[in-house]
Amino acid sequence: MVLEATMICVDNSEWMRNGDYSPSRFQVQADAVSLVCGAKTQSNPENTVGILTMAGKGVRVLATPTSDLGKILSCMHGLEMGGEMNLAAGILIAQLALKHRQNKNQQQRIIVFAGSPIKHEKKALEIIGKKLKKNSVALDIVDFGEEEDGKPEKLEALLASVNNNDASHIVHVPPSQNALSDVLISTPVFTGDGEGGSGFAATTAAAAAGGVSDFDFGVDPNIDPELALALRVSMEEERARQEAAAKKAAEEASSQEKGEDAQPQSDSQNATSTATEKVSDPMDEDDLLKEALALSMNIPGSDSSAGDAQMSEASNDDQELALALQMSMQDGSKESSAPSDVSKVLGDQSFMSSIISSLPGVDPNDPNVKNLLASLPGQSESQQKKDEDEKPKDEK
Amino acid sequence: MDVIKTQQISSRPIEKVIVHPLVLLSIVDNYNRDAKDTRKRVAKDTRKRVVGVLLGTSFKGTVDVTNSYAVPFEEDEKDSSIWFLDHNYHESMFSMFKRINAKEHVVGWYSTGPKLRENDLDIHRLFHNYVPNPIMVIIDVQPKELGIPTKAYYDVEEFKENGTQKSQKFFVHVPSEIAAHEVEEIRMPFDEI
Repeated sequence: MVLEATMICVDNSEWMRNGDYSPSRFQVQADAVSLVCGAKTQSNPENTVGILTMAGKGVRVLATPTSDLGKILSCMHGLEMGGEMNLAAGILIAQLALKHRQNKNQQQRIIVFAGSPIKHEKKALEIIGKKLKKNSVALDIVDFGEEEDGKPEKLEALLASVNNNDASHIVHVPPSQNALSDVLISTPVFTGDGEGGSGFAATTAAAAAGGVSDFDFGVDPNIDPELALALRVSMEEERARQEAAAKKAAEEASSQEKGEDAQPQSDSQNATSTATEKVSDPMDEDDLLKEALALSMNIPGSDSSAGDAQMSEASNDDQELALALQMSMQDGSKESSAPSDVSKVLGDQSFMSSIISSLPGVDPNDPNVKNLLASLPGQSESQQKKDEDEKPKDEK
Repeated sequence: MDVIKTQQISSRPIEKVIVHPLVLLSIVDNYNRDAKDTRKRVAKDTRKRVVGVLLGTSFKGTVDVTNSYAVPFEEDEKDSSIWFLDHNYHESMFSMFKRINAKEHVVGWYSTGPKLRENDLDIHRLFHNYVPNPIMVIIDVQPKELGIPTKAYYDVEEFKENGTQKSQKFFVHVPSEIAAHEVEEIRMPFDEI
């Protein structure tokens, strides 16, 4: 939520009549401009945005930096195309306009839409860039439209001379089906603002486009970064678990048959709640194991020391059990592997019943123990079902 | 805007410009506050200048300038085509002035010069949006010789007869004088400015 004063330099030259971006370059530029304005004003109410045109009879300031979105949008309306773009003059005048911003605390930023060929020399652009850098003005360049030899290099040189701590960005947008604004949303031009601004931008674009999204899981990382991150993490955990599952395939063959029947119900809820489950799962399974151990020892309130004592005792009896218990005792750092192993331990019903029977003082027929056993497989079986699904796919 | 319509109906070529002392005083004051102390890194002639809007009335070829205010103005010292005048500021300011005195409308703009500059014609073109026949007055804030410190111009378009070249605009000088209403008659010793 940076406090910023932005000047947008619009290219309204003859080159904007071209229709290689549908409906026309000028239209997509206008859409992108209104999107940027909205994003900026939304991310911080004190942000101001101004617009100037670079072509036509000459550089003309349509709106000086203001936070009135309506005024800015009305300026874009009824613009005429013509003439040639004067990039240098446009940027310098934008810088003068920013100099006169009312709130001196605002950061200065210029966004340039460069759609026509650039007639300035690289050297001249670099001098301009240095001037902007001296006045601590950040510059964002949107390179679209006309593709000319040397244009990207010139713009990159300009960016390099302005850039200060990565505050400035450049985006090259080739002609394509996607609207310019859709492409811009995923770029630092928008995401540089922070979550709020891009959220606005993303919702309006989603409403407009409604079609294919380029993001995984169908979730725009800009709208809901936490959800996107959680989904990504759960995918990685799932992959890790599947690798471990492949190793223990033979051992679980018997328990899987039992697991399958109780499967379909928990499968659907598992798919949707994977994200939330992932966070709570390691905790739950560790806690449940501790509870089981405590129950077996008739000690109220499980104690890790009791668990440890139990472990040492159990290790003598059953090496596999000891291994499983060791893994479950490991904390945070191996969260991804722990639940997989613990779940494997808990999922193996025959294994579980053998543990319970081997532990002194536990009656397998005890209703509490039975309930506990019933609840545990419910979680782990769902994971086994997924393992099963993945395995046939892998075999293919 | 009906103001412009009435002006167009009675639009005669401007013959005389009358500047009131209040205008001179506020412009000089503005200059002293804003631009006087800019270091003379560049040649004396091109020191930073103050630009503003002139308000007044126009009647039968005579323009009566009664009020003025400065506007944020920036220009590049080296490249005269790079300049910025905050016209949003001007529009807001003018709408406020209109509330106290509806008779006053925009008649043109002023510059502290001291001489005409290359981008003056471009700035003048901007004022054509607000008034059909704007005047441009150069106020000499540090006059060396006796005489009135104002020089007034308006622009004229000259069309080449064979029509091949684009029409050019020229500034044409117009006689100006300082006059005041009775209440404004305060002494203005020019050598003290």
